[in-house]
Amino acid sequence: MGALAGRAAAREITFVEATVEALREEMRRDPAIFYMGEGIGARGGNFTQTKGLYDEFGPERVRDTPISELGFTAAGVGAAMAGMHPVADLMFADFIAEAMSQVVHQAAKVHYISGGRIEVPLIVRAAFGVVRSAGAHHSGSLYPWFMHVPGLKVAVPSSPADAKGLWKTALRERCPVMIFEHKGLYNQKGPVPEGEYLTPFGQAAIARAGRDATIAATALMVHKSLQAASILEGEGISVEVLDLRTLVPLDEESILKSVARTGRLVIADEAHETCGVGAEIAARVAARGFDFLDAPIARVSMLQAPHPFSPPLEAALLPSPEKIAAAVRAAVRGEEAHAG
Amino acid sequence: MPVDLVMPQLGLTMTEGKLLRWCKQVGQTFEAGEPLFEVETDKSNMEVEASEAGTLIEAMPPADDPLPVAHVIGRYLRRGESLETAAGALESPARVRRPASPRARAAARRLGVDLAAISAAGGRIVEADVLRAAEAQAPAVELPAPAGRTAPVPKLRRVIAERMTASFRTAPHFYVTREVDAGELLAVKRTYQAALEKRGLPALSLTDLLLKAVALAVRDHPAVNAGWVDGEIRPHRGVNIGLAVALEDGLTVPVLREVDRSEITELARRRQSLVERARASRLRPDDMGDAGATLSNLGMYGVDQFQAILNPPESVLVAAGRVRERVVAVKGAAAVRPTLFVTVTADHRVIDGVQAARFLASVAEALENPGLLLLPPESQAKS
Repeated sequence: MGALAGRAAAREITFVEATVEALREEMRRDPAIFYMGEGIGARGGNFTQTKGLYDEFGPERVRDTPISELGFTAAGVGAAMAGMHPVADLMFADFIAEAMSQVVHQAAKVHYISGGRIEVPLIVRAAFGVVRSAGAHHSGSLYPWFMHVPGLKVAVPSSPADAKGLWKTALRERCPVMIFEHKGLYNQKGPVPEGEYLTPFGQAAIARAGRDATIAATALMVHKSLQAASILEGEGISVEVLDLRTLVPLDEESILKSVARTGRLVIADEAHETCGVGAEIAARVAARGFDFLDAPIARVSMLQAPHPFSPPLEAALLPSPEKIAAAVRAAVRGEEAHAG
Repeated sequence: MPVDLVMPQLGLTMTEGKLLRWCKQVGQTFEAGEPLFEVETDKSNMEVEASEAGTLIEAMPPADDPLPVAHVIGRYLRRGESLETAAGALESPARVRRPASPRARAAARRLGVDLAAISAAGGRIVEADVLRAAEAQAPAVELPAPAGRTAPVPKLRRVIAERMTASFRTAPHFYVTREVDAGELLAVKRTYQAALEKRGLPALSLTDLLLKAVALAVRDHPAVNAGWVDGEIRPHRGVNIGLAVALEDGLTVPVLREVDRSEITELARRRQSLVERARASRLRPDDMGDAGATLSNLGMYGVDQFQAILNPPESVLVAAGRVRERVVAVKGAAAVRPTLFVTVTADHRVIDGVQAARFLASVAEALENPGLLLLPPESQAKS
């Protein structure tokens, strides 16, 4: 405490403000960066995710588009191939399905099939996850799809500081980067360092250190996992929470190191469970960390059903701090794991 | 249904035991209370009695290797059941493969622990179970044989060596000593001796009075009735007092339960039978463990005073020397009085000097006012 007393109190801004700040700094630095999406111009974006950028950079670099995810994503791929550094903002991540071929077959593969001659430094921005019971078309967490496709990087920040640092790193990458932001995090405040910094891809952060079990979590689930850890602390179970920060590249080493310490792994992720983040991590840990495990690996994810409109039903399907805590408890006490 | 016979846990600290022999053959029937088999624990040999009548149908051959507590060593059928009615159950394999986590298996490989011999708290064996087992089976350090004749160390000697070394190394011992006037004590003993004999009651020994005095002091100082276990202060249940009993080739510390609530002649009777069982290697499971304090009395061997090593997880031990006439100052003049030295050993992790001194003061007060020790237990409430 003494060392901190002399320092100015850390500046706190929201997650979405941190991303706008990253964009502003990088757009000032690099004239190749421009932004496309629906209502992101003078309106400043559905989630205020471009607030103020139009005023500073004008309609050439902050371009409103029609509601055509396929059209502006394809335009982004072409612009990137031509030397620009575009951001294609899909608003709701669910509608990435409309632009799937452009992302999977073009953005991800052009560098490879051109023999390394053509780079596609495209950012695809997508707001994902459940907030306020938005139903089956506006609640999805579709990032696991892109872990499956070689040639893409995937970021899932959980805090304002990481959001800014990962955005700035993404805007300096020379490959396509998918940035998935949980809608429930946009207005969360947190300390964000002033001045220039980059958050590297492929480095998980220990959000909370612990002894008895590891929870590997993404985005909003980092916060739910920290709540679960607090519940479990009262029961004498010490939990380590690992914030994965990026899914591609995935920080396998940090996960393995943590599991080597704790012997137990629970993966908390809001995407659907089958072939999800948890499936991939469980497989890798089973392969390389088998001898570290004192309990079966457990996943706490969205159950395998479309997102319902009904709030109680939605809550029943979603991972929660209580479900995460129950999975950890079962692992620590040696009970059979049960579905979240 | 056949009922499993398992290696019993005889006392708080027992983790494994050796099956020495069967008192019944397979096929033989037995009554409740009859001895079934004999085990050797780290403290002594004990016969384990049948809890109900039945017929022995399976018996593992005795072996030199110790078995973990709860390991199945045999089976019996309850009276009235036959092998035919139980046939289905018997066909199931006697030994189910115990699930163990990959981490536990890796640890077992690394430490050379046999997973089959591990008792797990939960269903699946985890690393912590293996580490515990590895610790328990850690071999005694083998020293190079000294020049000259060496004899194999008997099991009891080895157990005493290990336990006393562990106690003396881990518990920070300290000692408080006090000279106690034994005039009243001897008077009481003399006065009641004849009366007791006349009624055919067992003789009262100084040990019985000491036991009672220690028990009342333990009762009145609950802080000493606790032990340092795994980094925690764990209170003991009840006022149980261990009594150091010399054996031909060693020492054992059986326990008298609820001594504070035991009337003195009853206590004397229990103490006598306990000592007889200890000397005959016939201690029962309930005779061991869970003591709050141990009494060690070397008075009969001419010792004036001594400092003993704690018997974990107890935090106090009372060492009594002989009663003998000594010259003491009484009201400014030299007087000759019978006295004895009482020394309390304490574990400084649990107890501080003043607590030990107060505990010792309570023991001394009871010994100097021994009438209190003879009152019925309900009248011995703390004044």
